[in-house]
Amino acid sequence: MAATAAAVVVRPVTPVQASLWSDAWRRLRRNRLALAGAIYLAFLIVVALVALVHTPYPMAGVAVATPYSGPSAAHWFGADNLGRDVFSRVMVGAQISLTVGIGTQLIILAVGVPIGLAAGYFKGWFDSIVSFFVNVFYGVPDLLVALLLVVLLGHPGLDKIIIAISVTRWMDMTRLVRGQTLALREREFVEAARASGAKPFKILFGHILPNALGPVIVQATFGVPAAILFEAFLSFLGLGVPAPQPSWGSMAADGLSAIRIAPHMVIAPSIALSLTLMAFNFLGDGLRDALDPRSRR
Amino acid sequence: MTPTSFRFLKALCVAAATLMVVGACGGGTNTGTSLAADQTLKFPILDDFGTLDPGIADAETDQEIQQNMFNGVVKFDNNLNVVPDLASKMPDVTSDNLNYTFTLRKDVTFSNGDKFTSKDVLYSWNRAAAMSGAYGTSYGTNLAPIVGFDKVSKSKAVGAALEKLLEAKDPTVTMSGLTAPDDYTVKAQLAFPAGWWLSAISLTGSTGQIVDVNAVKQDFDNWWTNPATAVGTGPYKMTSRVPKATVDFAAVPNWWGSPKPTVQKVHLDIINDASTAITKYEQGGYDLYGYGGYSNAPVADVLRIQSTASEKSQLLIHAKVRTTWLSFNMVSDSKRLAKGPFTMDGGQSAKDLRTAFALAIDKKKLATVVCSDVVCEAATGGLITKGLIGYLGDGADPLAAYDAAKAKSLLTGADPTGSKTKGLTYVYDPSNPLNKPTAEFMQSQWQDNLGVHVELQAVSHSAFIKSRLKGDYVLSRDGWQADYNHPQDWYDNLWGSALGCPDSSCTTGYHTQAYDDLLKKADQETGDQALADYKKLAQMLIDDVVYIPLFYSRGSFLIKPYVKGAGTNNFVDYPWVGIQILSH
Repeated sequence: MAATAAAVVVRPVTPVQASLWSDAWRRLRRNRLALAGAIYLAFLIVVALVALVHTPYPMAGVAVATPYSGPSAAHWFGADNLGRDVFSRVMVGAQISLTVGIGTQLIILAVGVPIGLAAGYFKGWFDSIVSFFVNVFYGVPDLLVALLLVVLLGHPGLDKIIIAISVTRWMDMTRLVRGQTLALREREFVEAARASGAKPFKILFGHILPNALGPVIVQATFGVPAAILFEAFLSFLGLGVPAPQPSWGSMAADGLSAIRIAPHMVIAPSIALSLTLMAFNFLGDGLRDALDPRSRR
Repeated sequence: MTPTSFRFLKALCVAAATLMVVGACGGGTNTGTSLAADQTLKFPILDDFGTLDPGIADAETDQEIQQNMFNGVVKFDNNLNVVPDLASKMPDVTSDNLNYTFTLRKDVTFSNGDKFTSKDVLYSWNRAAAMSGAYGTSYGTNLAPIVGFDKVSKSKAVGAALEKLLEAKDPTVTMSGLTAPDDYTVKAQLAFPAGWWLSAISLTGSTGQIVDVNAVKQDFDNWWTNPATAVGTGPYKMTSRVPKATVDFAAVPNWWGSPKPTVQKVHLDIINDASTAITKYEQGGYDLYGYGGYSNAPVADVLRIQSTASEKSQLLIHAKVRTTWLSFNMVSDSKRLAKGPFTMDGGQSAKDLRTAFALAIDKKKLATVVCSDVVCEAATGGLITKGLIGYLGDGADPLAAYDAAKAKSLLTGADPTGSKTKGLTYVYDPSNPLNKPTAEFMQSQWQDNLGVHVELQAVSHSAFIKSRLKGDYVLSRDGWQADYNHPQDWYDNLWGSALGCPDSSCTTGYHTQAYDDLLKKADQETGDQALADYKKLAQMLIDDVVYIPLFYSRGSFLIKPYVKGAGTNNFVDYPWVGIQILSH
């Protein structure tokens, strides 16, 4: 008994020092929905990459099957109104969706983060101007702005879609980063950096941004499905990517008129779209819980 | 009775009872032969009217309705023969084909009770001629052969000012070749022989139709929108109209013509979506679908109905006088913005390119894939639709051939580096549900057979037509719905200097001296001589590869079993006046 007690006394207590990121990863792994979302998205990325080099049938190849024919061993998701293989088109559609979703967020990060950092840190007239424009853009219906931009930018294309969506969605990121910066700029470590003579650029990108990165990543993760949905909607209206590129939205639109004889034309892209949106949302939820445990429900 | 006989009798009784039950419970509608008490005909149209004024109307969708409200002195019967309408007999024509004398019926009244006389013919035709210039109407030229049309069509007066001039019989709006010796005789003197003229003035809902001066002068431009002034000599009159929603018509009491209308009321709903309208028809909301010029139903719906036993017999697929083709921009000048590699000044090389693009498309496969061989058929017999005068015969158009190897060879010779065919765009209007899949099919074929990527651009119908006629497109969807059964309707209205080519109202810009000369000659001829020359014009267009033939359309109609007398010929719906609703 004494020996045991002595052992307890002499064994040093070595607390496990987990970093923010490893701690977040540990919490994320425990979230099964988030994990499932991440696995699905990894699979989707693989599908999109494979579609760059191979699809079962050419995605624009007409009459590879009987028009409107249902799912079969040769055509897993059936054929569309021109006898094109729906599975091949869903695969290529994944490229479009991921490109739009990720491309949009990259632009929004590139624009929203620096502006938000500057507005929150410097405050004053610059912050007033940024806040004014943020409020103005919030006041204008995003669909209207996107439609106008797509039309004004000329012939539809993936780049135009990404620009149009980015223009309507940059405010969320800017506002978030501004708010984070306003809170962080008064913290001791920022005061210390400032007192040690660090330049604003160094303070913003070396001290404030790393501490705001969690919410930024969560916001960007939620922004991806929003952009994908927006693209699908624009394509559904006929303002999306040009033919023969298949977007899940335009595929669903094409299938709508044939829904009573060929429901697979709508169901296949819709399920792909829904699963992708769900996956991003689950992952976003998981990341939020993982990166900011205090916000857990 | 032996046991065997008894069993047979029992089986017979069971069979009879079963048949009675099946008959009573079956999906089909029990249709009697007696008339239904409610003679209200209901059907949807997919858009509101553009206009119902015969002086300016130019849309099939409007003309299909107008034919029930207005008449001309002559008309097409259901077999497309020109027959008397408001005239009591066919006109007397002098041997030089320059003077026509119409004798009018004396028992005709407008729906407001006004008596119809020769003055109404003069007023209506002079009005339409005067509007053709200032209002830019499409069908004013139907009256062009009449002496004095040239002068009247230059009138700039509009609205009430034009009405004043017409009532005053001002020379600027009065065709000198049009006279009325008495109340029931109209004489038309033509400036040149025109074998097509009677066909042109027979066109329903167009410039040859008669309007009532007392109604028109109430509101010169909008009289047709008000049921009180939407007056014609036809068997039906408008009774109410809610723009973009509903329109109602009623039979004119004691109408002068025959047969007398059986259907007493006609109700139209304006539903913008064809599939929604078809679903409502299937649910019993409508008696017809496809009337009013909206017979281009979505292919998927047609296929579905074809495979539905209870509805298959209600489906009527009928050839319509509509050909769809692709037009090249053939002329490059300062007023035509399109330019492109296909213009005639490019010589043999450009012609080879046009031929390559034509031969690279499998038209029969297009009809199979895009139309499921139901709502269209491959256009292999020239531009003029199968069944019309001037049709060249099945397989007679070499541009309808499919030869991918030759196409590639021609392309390689004419554009070895691919620079000429880089960045091409095909423009179409998606209002017709066949246009988008057709565009995507051709894009795929050009890519597969020529290795040429052609961008697709969809443009709303009105903007598309406007730009196309200005020569803004290198490659564009083109087509023609015949107005009347005469080749002149095609060759005058689509190519040549007479139309205004290259720079006015001309999709392709195509015009040559040889084409213009032969067209003028053919227009003045009649019978076989005219037909032979029109076919030579067709050959010119083929030789110069002005177009790529695609398909001839078929209309899709749904008609409930209890609706008798409804249907269509190649041109228009059968008029409402011949329809009966049986008890059901």
